[in-house]
Amino acid sequence: MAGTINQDCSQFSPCSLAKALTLAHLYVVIDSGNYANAGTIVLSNGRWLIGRGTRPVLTNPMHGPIIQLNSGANVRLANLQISDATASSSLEGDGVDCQSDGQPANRSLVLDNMLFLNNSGIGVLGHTCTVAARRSAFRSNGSGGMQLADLDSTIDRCEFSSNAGYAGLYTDGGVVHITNVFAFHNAKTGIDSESDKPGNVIEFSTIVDNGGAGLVLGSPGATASNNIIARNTMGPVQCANPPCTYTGSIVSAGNDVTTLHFVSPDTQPYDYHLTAGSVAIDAAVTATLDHDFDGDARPKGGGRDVGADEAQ
Amino acid sequence: MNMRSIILVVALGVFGCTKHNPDSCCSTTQECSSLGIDQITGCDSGKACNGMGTCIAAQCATSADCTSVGLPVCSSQLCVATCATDNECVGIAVRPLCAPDGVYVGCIDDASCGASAPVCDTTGRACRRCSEDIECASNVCIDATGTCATVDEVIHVSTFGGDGNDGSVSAPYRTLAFALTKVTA
Repeated sequence: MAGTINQDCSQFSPCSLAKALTLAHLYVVIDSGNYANAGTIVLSNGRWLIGRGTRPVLTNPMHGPIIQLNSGANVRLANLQISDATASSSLEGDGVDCQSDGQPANRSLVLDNMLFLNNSGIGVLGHTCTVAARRSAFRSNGSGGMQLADLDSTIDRCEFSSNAGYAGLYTDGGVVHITNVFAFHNAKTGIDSESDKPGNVIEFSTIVDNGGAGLVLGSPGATASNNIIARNTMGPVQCANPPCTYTGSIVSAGNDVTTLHFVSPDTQPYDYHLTAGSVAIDAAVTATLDHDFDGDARPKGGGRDVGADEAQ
Repeated sequence: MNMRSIILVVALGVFGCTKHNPDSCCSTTQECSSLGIDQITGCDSGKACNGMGTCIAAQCATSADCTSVGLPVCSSQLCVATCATDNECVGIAVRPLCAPDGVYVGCIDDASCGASAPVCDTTGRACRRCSEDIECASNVCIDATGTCATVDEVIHVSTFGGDGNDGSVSAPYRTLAFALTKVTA
């Protein structure tokens, strides 16, 4: 049935395309509060979910992921907390699943100011999915903070902390660009970049106090410059495909971090921002990055600081 | 001095200055009073009153003519430091408004900005693209374009809402699952 501009766009009174476009609701804004959705929220096509005010908390009282992206989905999640997903024998307990085996690698996920907390699986599982994450935290998830594969991704100004599983941040298959990341107190590796594609970049990140190696590099010619990698149980770096280069990085195999002058490296809440006197201050080699974890401008003072923080 | 001379001097004093001195002027009653001029008195064409009672050559027609640093505003044909009305800001590129503090600006608040640059930057006092959702009335900044979604493009969800509502900001839905059924893209 051909619609007209005078009809209300309902199923039985369809309207013209011109009018339908004027009525299109494209974005969902969610007010503060707790939202327990019984089952996984499945997103297709373009969907933006944006929290307003204090991060709304999205949970799933059933087993399974809290959010799942279908093939072709193009999703932006902003200012939300994704918490407490649980697994069953057949369902993963991930916060967000952006993957499906055997389907086209055509999903994209943008994360801004998100918190993935205490999910029994991975905070974000991104296979067959391009991910761009900034200003987000991945804490205390049972199988890792974030796991990415297959497609290229960018991670900036994110925290991966206290996650169990293999790594705070694990990447494989795609080219990743990781900047201004704090990775600490993860049960095993802080950041694991396994991709065999050249061009991976991990820079200006602080990787400290992880239970495995601080940084694992699998790709040939990986650039890991201007990072602080210190006091990790299994050593600072594992280089699977030598030579690996760490230009400008402070790489320490020991347990003494006193010269780094972190705010609170030994007592909770842990804080690895820099304080005056740190050897990391103004010590970075040539770079172009213009901001730090907090969004503060780089450089400040005589040069850029090594690690995720530019001391203020 | 004889009597004839005295009468002449007195007559000149009383009647001799009734014609306006073309180089003297005042723009307000108070200014005229302070300058000893009876009434508001303008200058001849091509001249402007300099505020000290003197007509001088006009400096500008619009603020575009004022190129001196520190004197960017054309007011009454003179280049001055501050504005009093929006009309005085005409000709100043991308700064068409007069703020209450007399500074010509690109915007006073977000309402003075257009859709392509919807945010009034409080530091630069100029309209710019949005970069954060909270900068938009709709709470949605489309970062690819730096523009804000319109209020009509947004569905709202609140713990105080109801799924029988219309999803507007004043009548939000209750559940995210229901709200997603209303997304039409």
